[in-house]
Amino acid sequence: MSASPRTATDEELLRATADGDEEAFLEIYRRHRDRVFRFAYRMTGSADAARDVTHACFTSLLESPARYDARRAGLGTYLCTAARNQTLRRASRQWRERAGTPADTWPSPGPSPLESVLKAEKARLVSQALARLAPLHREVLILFEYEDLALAEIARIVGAEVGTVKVRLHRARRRLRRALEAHVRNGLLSVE
Amino acid sequence: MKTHLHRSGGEEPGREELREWLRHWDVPAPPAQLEADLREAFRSRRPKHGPALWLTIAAAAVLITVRWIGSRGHAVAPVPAWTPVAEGSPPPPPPSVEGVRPPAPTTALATIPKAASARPALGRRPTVPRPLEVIVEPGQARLLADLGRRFGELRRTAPAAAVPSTGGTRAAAPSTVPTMGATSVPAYQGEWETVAGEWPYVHVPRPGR
Repeated sequence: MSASPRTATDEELLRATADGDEEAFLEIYRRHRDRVFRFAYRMTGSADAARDVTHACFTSLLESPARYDARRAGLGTYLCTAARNQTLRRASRQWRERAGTPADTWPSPGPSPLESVLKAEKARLVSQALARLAPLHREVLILFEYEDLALAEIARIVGAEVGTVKVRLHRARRRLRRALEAHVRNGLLSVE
Repeated sequence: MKTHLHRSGGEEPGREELREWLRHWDVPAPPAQLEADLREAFRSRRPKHGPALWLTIAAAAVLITVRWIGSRGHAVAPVPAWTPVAEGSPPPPPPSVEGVRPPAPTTALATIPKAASARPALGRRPTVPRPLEVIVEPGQARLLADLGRRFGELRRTAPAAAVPSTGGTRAAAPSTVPTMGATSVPAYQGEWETVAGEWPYVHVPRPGR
């Protein structure tokens, strides 16, 4: 690769990766790891699962780099799509294998000072409420609210029309609000 | 986290409040071990592809070289019009004439070029006409050689007897061919009669003529 890995574009880094440049591959990972990992974590509710999904997404670039088409979307969008497919596949496998809520994999707060316990408890309530959403609603809410993606980009990731994404987003908000309002009334959740 | 509200066209009531609730769930950064795992995955894949790729390239190069040499050899070497190919013959039988050495085995496998095919060759290399094989019987040449040697020996030992002379007979022969008389009719041109009582029929020349 002629340019430095830090200044090179994603396409240049991918070409260098295909030529065996390890640093170029790791630069791709450093650029996109946070979004992919956060999305996978919020979709699966598990750090281990998010780690597996992230690993699979980036190794897919090594195994079949030709599947990425730069003309259709950016590499970040492509990786989010890969993470979304991985999480949905995992979710359907989990539903087939056992009847249980994914919330039972949530990390428990554990012994800690009061503030951190309260913070962890609030996070657990939100994550549980998100986990109860349907995956198609959950993913658009996470991509929109947490990852700050535009509707058009979300539509590319989830493979739907922008109008469909809007509808899913609206329903996801409504259901999440309904789930969290009970905790707000009980005083467990509040706006700081 | 989103702080502006103008990306999805229109703002729902209570949406900012919902965002505040969502902010409670923070997600940790990906573990550092993940980068090490991916580095390991990258390195483990690299040698897998390397030897296979080089092996393929080397095999292709060898194949191209062999084919090139083969086609070059065919193009340069002239095709012989008639290529005799000697083959070993079975050991000859003992000589029938004392003192005459049996000739060397002369079994020949003659190759005669076959006529070129009328159909043009479609392949890249020019097709060499395959020679037609004619097998000569092994005893023929040996027999001729035997006869030649015997004849030579006879000429050496008895030159007069070797070649039959016609001088003596020439003197005894009549100088002219006798003319046939009109009365001397050959028997086959005479009268014939059938012998009675014989079966199958027996024909004899009629006497007295």
